[in-house]
Amino acid sequence: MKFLNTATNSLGKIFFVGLLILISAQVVISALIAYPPNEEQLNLVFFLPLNNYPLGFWIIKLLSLLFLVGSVIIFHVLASKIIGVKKSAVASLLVVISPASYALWNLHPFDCFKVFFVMVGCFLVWRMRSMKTICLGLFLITLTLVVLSRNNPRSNIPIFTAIKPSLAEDEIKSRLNSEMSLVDQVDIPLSVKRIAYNKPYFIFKNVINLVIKYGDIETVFFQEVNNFGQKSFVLFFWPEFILFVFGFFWLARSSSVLQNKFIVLLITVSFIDFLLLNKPPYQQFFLSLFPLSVIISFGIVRLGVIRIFSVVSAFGIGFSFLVNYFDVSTRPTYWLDNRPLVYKFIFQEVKIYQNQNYHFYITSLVGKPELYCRYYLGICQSSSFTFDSFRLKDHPPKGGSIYAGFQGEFVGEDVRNDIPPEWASKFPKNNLTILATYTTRDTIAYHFGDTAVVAVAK
Amino acid sequence: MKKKYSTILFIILSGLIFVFSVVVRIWGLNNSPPSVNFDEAALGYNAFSLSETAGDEYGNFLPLSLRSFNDYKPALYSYLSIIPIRIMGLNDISTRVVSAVSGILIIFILFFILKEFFLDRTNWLVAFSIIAIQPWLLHYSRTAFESNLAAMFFLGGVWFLFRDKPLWSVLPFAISAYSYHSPRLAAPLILFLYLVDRVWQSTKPLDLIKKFSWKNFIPLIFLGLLITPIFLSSRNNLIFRRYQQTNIFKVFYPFAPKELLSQNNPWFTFPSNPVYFLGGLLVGHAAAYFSPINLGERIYHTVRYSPMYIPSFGILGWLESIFFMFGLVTICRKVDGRKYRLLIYWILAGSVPAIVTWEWFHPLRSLDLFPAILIISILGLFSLSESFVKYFQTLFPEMGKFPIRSGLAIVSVIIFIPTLIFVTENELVYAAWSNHGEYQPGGYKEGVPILAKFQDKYDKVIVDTPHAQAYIFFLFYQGFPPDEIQKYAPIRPSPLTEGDLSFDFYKYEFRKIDWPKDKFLHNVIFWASPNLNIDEVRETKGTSIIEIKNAIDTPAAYIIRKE
Repeated sequence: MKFLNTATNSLGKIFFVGLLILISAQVVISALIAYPPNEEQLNLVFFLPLNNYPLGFWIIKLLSLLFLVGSVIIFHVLASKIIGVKKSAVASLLVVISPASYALWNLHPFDCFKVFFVMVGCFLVWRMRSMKTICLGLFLITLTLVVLSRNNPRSNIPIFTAIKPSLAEDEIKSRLNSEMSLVDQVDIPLSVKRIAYNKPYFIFKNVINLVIKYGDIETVFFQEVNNFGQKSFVLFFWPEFILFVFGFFWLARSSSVLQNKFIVLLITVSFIDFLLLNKPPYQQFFLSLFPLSVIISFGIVRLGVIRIFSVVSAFGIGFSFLVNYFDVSTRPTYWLDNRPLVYKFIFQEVKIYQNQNYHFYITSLVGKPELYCRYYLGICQSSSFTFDSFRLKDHPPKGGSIYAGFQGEFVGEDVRNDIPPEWASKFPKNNLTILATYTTRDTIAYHFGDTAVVAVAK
Repeated sequence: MKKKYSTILFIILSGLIFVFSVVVRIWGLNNSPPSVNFDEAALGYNAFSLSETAGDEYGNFLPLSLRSFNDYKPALYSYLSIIPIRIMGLNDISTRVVSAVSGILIIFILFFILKEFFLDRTNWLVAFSIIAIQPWLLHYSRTAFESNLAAMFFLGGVWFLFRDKPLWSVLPFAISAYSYHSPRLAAPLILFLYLVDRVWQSTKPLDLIKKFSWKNFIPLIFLGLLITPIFLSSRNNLIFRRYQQTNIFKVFYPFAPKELLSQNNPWFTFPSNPVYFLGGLLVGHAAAYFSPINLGERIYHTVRYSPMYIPSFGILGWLESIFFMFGLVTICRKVDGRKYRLLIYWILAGSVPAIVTWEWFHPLRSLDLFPAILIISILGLFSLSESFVKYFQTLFPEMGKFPIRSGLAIVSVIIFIPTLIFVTENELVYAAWSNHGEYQPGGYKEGVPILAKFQDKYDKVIVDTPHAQAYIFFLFYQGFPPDEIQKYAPIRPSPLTEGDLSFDFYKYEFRKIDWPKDKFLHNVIFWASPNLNIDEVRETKGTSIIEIKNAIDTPAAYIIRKE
């Protein structure tokens, strides 16, 4: 294949060496953080014909990494013919160094598979000239996006929610009722209001509001300096925004139709993915890493004509890489989902008492405990385990049991998540003894407090 | 003949759009928004005080800045409000008239600026009609905002720059600096950039330094001279008070997450150095004004609970926020044109005052730049339409441009008309419901005139309200004599005080009501919040209660007379 030829020249060598170094750094950081598996990974781990689940977990992670790197290589092969080898190599490296890439292969194997098949689809659409392969490519992209998006079944696909007539109707009714409560209002006849207050217009409004959310420069470029109240990995480092501005300027003035069409294809695919996903922002915007990296690479390469700018750009991005990965390794609970950590804590405690004839009640408030149980303990017999949320305030604890859940499940929930500081003092009254506690950084069990407790009822 | 008819049609349609813009800015100004907010009340009352005594509420003679809530509001808005207040008395309408007129004039000036970009009359008219339905232009015209007044003058200055008359721009720029804080930075900056551009274009780069002359910057020097009194007028640099309160360097220090900082000296932290994060904050603040989600949809917490809030919208219309990115492409392509470069300078200058303050996105402080963003959005719309027409022609070459353009026009009208109704209805009706709460507290407009009728017969008025600075509503809604209030200036909280600046004046005492004790007082009026246990009050002999309701007919306050 032609891309192998790139390895023979110096630029190709630099690209592959750079890729190797960056990936190795991420693997080392991943090993150091030793973050526990999430449910998505556990489902795949149990699918493997392996009894050594930790090994299976690492296999899944490395497989995810392989698919992600594969997608970057396909992207590089495709882009190098359109925007040039240099820019393509730079864009590919920008995708790889993104903390969002790190998060994807560490946490979301299906997203990695998705990105890979989408890139294959883009390759087929772009490189093959026959209508048949173009259609095949588009079909592959669509199927991948729809199937492998794997939204939480309980959550709604954004675009389908936006076009729901019932949502529009509820909104119209709510507005009209609110307006009727005004004592002294500007009187606009209902017949006039109805020109705008109708379902088609409100559906149009909801769809456009969803589309606007795709233009979220802050989430894409400034997540590291302002989290905007959302939990999301950094997609691009903020210095890359400056390079993006330069790249945008030069690309806008470029007369290359081919380059523009390529970027439009990538943006279109990422936009469709965005409309279908109801997930954290770094997952929603991940596919947009590719077209935006292309634009940034334009900025880097054009500025790089003057050597000092090359050095400054490389230093800026390199330093940002250092800052961000240091941040991830120093405070992983800030960036990573806290739920797997809670179950890791719970089952590490449960493991100590596993063979002591207790019945274990494990909360299901923040996940599927049966998956974690199987991972940490092996076999979890239903005679010894109950995986469900509990309310010990209403149903007193049963003797000879160990309960693992959140504070509110023991002492009663609070609508403002404001569990009293003296909550632990209520335990002895219920014949409960606290064995261990773990306080999460984030509020993941709203109403039930932020501290997971393992307690025994004797 | 055809040209004559098209001119007449153009004039009629432009006139209709303009009349619509005027009507929606003044219709129902008394009850939408339902009452004045704190700053409106302060502006109105200070205008009243200036008209009566030539001094502000503190007795400062003809001030250039109003001390008000120790935020030193620029005073021009209040000075201009003297005329409507003299004619109509001190009320919601007379306080808002200046902003409404400013909003109308903004539309008028924008009409002429658009001509610089849209030579074709049809395009010009389409662009003008888009401006007429902009939610932010309407919203900021219907509340007393000094920034709206400033934006109008700033826009006037920019128009003179478009006409290549920098000397003429000096006066409107200077007046804008007297109207609000932001133009004090934005106006000199845009003028500077314009003048540098002018010199750059007329001189070969190698000769630039040789031919550099201060004479090229005479307009900037004049502007500097005209606005110098603003800074000289303040003792102890209190004029910078607002900046001190809101600047990014104070609020976000030490910039980096504390967990990543060195325990000894944060500035020596590696790699999470505060300088890195400060850089990100500044660049991010700048980028915020180019982010489509901020322009069209996202509402920040600081905006939501403030008079800046426009329900259902960010700043621009929804489609305009999307077209903005396409407009930026157009600007990049045409940056060789002076007027397009001026748009870029306009955005840069307009965003700087907001970048150095702590809020990530602050519409009021950046109001000067939104007309530029709007123009760019409209350019994007036209560019996209042309691309769409060309693309359709390549797909269907037998079809001429006219059917495609007609189809686009029909779709545009189908979207435009309901949007026009929605924007109008949203601002005049829905926003009145949505914004009746905390920052526009209810009860004062309805209750203070009632209170004013009784208060002379009582010894004391005890006010228990959850709202800080509530005193201003008692001054505003009864037109309390300014010369009386000025006497209390020495005992009022000092200029550096932040938080609740309430003070006791006349018979008014601002404190919490403790009914079990206070019920034994006599000849007193209580102004109580709805949190008071009113049943307990009803059981007390010698009390009569008047329930004051707010705009949505829920209890906002009680006036309790205790004989």
